[in-house]
Amino acid sequence: MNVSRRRLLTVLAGGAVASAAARFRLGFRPARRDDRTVWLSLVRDCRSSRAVGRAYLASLPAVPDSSDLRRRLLPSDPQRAASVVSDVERLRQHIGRQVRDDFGSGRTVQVRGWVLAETEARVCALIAML
Amino acid sequence: MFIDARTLPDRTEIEADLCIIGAGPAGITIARELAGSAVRVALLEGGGLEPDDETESLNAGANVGFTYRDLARSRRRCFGGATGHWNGWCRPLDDIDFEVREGIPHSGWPFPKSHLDPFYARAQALCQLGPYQYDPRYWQGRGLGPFFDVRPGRVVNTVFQMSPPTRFGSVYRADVEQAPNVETLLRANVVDIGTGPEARSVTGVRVATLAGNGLTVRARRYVLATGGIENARLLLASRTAVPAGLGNQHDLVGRFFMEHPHVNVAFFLPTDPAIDARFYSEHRFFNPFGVIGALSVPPGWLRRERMLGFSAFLAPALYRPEAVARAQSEDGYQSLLDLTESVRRGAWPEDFIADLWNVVSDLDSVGRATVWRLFDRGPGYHLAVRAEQAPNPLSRITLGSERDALGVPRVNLDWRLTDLDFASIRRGWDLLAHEFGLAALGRVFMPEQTVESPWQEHISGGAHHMGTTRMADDPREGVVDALGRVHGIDNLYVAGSSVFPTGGFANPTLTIVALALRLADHLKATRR
Repeated sequence: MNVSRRRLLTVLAGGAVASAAARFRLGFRPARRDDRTVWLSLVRDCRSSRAVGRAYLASLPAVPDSSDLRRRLLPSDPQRAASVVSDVERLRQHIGRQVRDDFGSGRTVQVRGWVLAETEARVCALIAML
Repeated sequence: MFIDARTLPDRTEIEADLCIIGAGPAGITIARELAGSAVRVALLEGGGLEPDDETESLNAGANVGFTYRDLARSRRRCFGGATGHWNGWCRPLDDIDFEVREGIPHSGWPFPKSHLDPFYARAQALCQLGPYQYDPRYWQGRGLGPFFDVRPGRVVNTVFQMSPPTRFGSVYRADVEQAPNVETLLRANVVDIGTGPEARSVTGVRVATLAGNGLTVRARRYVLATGGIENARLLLASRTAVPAGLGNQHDLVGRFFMEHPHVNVAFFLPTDPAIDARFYSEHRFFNPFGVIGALSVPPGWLRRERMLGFSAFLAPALYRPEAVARAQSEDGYQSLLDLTESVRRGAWPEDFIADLWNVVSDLDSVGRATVWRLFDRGPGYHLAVRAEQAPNPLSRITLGSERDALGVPRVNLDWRLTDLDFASIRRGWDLLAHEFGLAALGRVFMPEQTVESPWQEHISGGAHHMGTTRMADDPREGVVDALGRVHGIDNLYVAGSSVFPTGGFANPTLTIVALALRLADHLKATRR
């Protein structure tokens, strides 16, 4: 990924995170703890996940905002979503199930050649936005 | 008895009951089967007991299509033929390879696989293999495995057996040389197959040597067994009676040239380096043969998706550094090389794949931060794909304007692959990517479609030359009938992979030998 694209993504991501933050407060009634920490706890190395996330985002025709990504990653029921995102272990299990479902049903994306579950690409994209 | 044809007086005439042209696996198999019988056999081999440059240069030709191997080097003109440089991979074709398949034009053999099974079983022994068993479960019971946990409806385990490899020229030399009814002429290159004016019967073959003398061999019956390119070349070049060449009344000789596209640019990165992939990456030896596993796509899926056959074994990345180097233009591969170097140095890599690793090592698992340090083989595997090519009339051999030292026109090989060939390979990669992901085995890199650097450029062939005198009941669809006899010529048979109407993904030698055994049985049973 070249520098100009990275800069562009940083700008886009910054904007998306700002708008998503507002929506998030309205939509999910999150756990008291900041959910950013929970998402970041999913991966060992945020820097690398962000790189993948940025590559994924760059491949999309329109960049989603972080609330879109959260909505797609979490259960549709707001209470369940809040419950899942309140605990990193619960979130990890939920995401793991989704990843397997994605592979099982063909919901995959190619990120710079690597075939990834849509969910894991979205997680990376979200982390890139946080 | 072996005779060097160069020592014979010019214009010598030799008579036999059966003339076999070419002493490769097919020719030697037939001669050996007839050894000790009442059939007088003349076995003609263009080369000597060992390859030499002057003789091999007769094989030279031009590649005018998809990039292909040097034609002088990808074949062997000497006693033993291509088994002299064969790696020994063996596997029968699958049932589906014999079927007429929807979406695969020109597919189908004149008989089902079950017809060949008894001959395959006999061919196993000739190729010094184990029992005629290609069910992975059989080999699982003999210590092979473990198998990957993949959904059998999408991806299946399969096995290849490895011949030592059997060098037919040395292993069966004594059988042929000592047979009282077999006369083997070495350095005897057939340059023309002569027929009567109607080209209904072969009347004799004209032989030339590089020493300048010539001879004629006359027999009741003839078997052309010079390989997938030379078989077509000789038929096309024998045009005294028929300008288009023998057996070419429907313009089929030389067409439908097929290979097994080989491509190693896709990559499998295991989630956990402790995953045991040896079944797919290492030969297990059972002296004298070996067994190795591969992943393929089951017939139900091939039929449903109208997809060609696909197989992949796993080649450890460090095992084939030249393949990595060739693919350096790919971003992902560049990262792989850097990663490999980092792992060697024991340092933490800092490039994209290292980053990717963090993502692909299942998000629901922990404690794998030190796994790279445990690596002692390599960071992953190339998916070593051996695929089926669709029969394609435009993929063909023709005669060029140049002639070899004996005056025979050299060939032009126009190897052509189609979108169906490429799409089937991509679909195979895709299926593996999904199954590996679902089973938490790892992730797959497959090159993206780009105009600047198309992945198709990395496809090569395996020196498996098939299809150029294809078999069909209908003369409008094939050059030879179900027995291997040239349509319209009552005493000329063709043996070898040139008769394959489809080639599956299995290496051809075992099928070549099985068909040769079948033809030998026919020749014995119908000797006059």
